[in-house]
Amino acid sequence: MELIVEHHAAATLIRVNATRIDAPTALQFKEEMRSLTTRGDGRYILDLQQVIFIDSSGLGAVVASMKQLRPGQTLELAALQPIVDKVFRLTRMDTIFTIHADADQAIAPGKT
Amino acid sequence: MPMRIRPLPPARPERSCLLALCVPALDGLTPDLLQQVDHTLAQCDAASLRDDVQIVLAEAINNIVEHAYAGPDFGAVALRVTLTKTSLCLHLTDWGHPFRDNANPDGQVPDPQDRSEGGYGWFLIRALASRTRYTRKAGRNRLCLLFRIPGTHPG
Repeated sequence: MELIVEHHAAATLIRVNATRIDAPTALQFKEEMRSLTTRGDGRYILDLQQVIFIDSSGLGAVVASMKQLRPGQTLELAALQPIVDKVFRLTRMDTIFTIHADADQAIAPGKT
Repeated sequence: MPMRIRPLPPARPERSCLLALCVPALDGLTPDLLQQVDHTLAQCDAASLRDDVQIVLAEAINNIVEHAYAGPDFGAVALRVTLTKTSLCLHLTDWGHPFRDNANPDGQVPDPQDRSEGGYGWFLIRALASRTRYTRKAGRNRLCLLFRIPGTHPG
């Protein structure tokens, strides 16, 4: 699981460079998200453009990533692909995250 | 143990077997298994069910890996995918522990406000499969997950 971090004025962008967040990779994802958010503040946008599959373990890891944030940090999601979108909608977890159609749009100047 | 010999069930030409395989129940192998099933479905009349089948099958196999073969136990999972004109069925067999009373839950959706990190697996299975049937027999767990093919009517 590779997470690529880009710092922008509006937010920190975390691009998931993997096609799946699932049972074999969920724990590693959660730990890497934890280490990426041990310092810093503001918005973190998780770009899921490349992620074509997520299961309940992966969903749990994304939720855990949000719960382990420190005060002053927020986690938003971007570019949910069809299966990922379906899993978030069915479980209604789409109601507790801000979700952007596109990560680059989410960090555009003036966006908060 | 006494064995009883049964006549073969009559052939059911209306039901075709698309895929049958048996693999070790290890989560690292699940993506390959899912991909094989997906390739198989892409070539048949049930292609519209591909996403739902991926989601449901992943959860069903995760349950086997985590619960049927909990702890140091290790075993196999057998999968058969069958197709009729109106439905697609995934038949999963494992030789692990039976479902505990509370491990085959009715699949209620967790409240998003609880920020729960688990408990979504059975909910997703029940939300997407048209019918689920679990049987425990002769030391085997059998789970049949049926999906109606959209636009068809069960005969």
